[in-house]
Amino acid sequence: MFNVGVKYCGNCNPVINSKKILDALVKGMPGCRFGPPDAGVPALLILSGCETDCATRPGLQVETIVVAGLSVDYVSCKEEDIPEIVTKKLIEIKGRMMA
Amino acid sequence: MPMMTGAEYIESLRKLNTEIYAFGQKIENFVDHPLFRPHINAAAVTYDMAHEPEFEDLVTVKSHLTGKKINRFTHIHQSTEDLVKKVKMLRMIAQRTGTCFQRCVGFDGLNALYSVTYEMDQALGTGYHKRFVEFLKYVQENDLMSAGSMTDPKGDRGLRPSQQADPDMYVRVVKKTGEGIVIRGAKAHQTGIVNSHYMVIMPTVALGEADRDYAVACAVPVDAPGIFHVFGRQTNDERRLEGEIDTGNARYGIVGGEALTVLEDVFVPWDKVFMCGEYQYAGMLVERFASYHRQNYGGCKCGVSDIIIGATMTLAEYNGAAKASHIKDKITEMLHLSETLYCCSIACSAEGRKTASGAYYVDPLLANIVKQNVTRHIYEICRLAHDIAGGFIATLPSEKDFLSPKTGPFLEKYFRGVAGVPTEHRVRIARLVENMTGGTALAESMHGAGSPQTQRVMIMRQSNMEHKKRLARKLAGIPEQE
Repeated sequence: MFNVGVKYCGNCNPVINSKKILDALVKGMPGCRFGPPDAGVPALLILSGCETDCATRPGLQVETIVVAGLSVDYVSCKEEDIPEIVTKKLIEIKGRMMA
Repeated sequence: MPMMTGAEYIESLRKLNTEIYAFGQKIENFVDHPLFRPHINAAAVTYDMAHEPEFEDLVTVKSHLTGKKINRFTHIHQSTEDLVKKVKMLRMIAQRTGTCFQRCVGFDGLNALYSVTYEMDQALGTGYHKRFVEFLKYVQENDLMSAGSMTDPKGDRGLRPSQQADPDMYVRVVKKTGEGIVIRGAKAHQTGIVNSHYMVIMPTVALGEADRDYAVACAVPVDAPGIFHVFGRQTNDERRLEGEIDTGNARYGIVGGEALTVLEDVFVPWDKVFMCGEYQYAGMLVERFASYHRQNYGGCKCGVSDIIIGATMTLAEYNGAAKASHIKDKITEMLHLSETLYCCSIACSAEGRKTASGAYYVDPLLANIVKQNVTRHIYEICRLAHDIAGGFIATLPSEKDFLSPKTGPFLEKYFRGVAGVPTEHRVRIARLVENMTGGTALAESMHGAGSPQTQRVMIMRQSNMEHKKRLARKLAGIPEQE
């Protein structure tokens, strides 16, 4: 099982539904366990409700994917495309870890 | 070259061959011409303050490209702190000049192009960002002033650029060669362009495929062959040719000194071309530039308002009316309106975000709120200033009448306010209020950085209405629709 830490921003005025995005990822990636951003997780997923990206980082030196509003890793995208883009990035990270 | 001083900046303008027309004549020495010099003095303050230790934390910064200390007006924002410092810097400089110092427009053009060229290259495989970074290094190392050249004449506002009866209504590429491109058209309302070194040209609207030739961004020296500038008139501008007091702010003038810049088949080498045909990215560039520029207005206009409020309070004291409760209430309202603008600018900066290039961008919704408020609050601040100042700001005789042996003693006697304040001081403050609160200064608040409707379009687009509707439906007990 590939553990992914998830960190939310607090969602004061979100332009995306972060919970729905995570639900789609959980459903689409059965080989991944999405949980708290504890020490030891090999990857970190930041879910910020808007592009201001207020999520505080737990300070882990790990591979990180940043969803901030309608963007993934600072590249603009549609909300419905976010799970697919994140999935591809997680598969790439997992592949690098296994190599 | 290290950062220039104001004097060095002014000398650098003398070395250019900028072709300028005003009042039907070609201007041979614009640097020393009283029509232009106040605007040059205002821009020079942005250079001088970089050398004053008490202001250097705002006006200077370390370049992320070279590690060298540079003037902030050539910097690419690397954090939300940089965005906040920009606003504070603009307010602080405006408190000294009392008017537009023009250099923010090019600053915003540089920042918009930095992130957009990066994202364009990532998506399309073009190579504009590297070119742009080389140009940016040149600007930083030579401490150049660039004019942000976005607004096209537009012709028929109901038609796209490619649909215009006259194809030159928007700047376009008319020829491409192995060495570069040739562009034609004009840019309107060009703040500070006659006393800039470069113009940074960008499209003015989002474009479609048919408008491909109009998707052009590039940098051109303001004195390049084929470029000339026709200087715009301002309210009371001829007073500058007559004397000092009647201009109100003789040293720095009013607003920025705008021109219509004509580009008659101007050659631009490829290394200064940052967009050429990529119409899909014109809209992004316009939005980024506009949002950066709208961010500014709660900084500089707040600084200008600080002076208007100070002048109005001083005039109330000179008039003997300062203790009246309605005066205090109106001054309080002016403060409230002005500081609201500042709040908005600080907010859109603090809520700024990182772009793919690493540069930081303001919150576009809040930046548009800033400017929308400016189109109203400055008018109200100025209305209250007129209310408190009294009608004599509109009926004062000229400076020459005060100097006349026949009329001077009578004007000195009958324009006096409270005892102990010289009449000349009361007249000087009145002229400052008059010139800062009317005519061109007001219209600039309305249309500078985009007319009000352009902000309203952005506000609606950025408002996340679906989220608000969802919140309302939930509270009202309406089941969530999937």
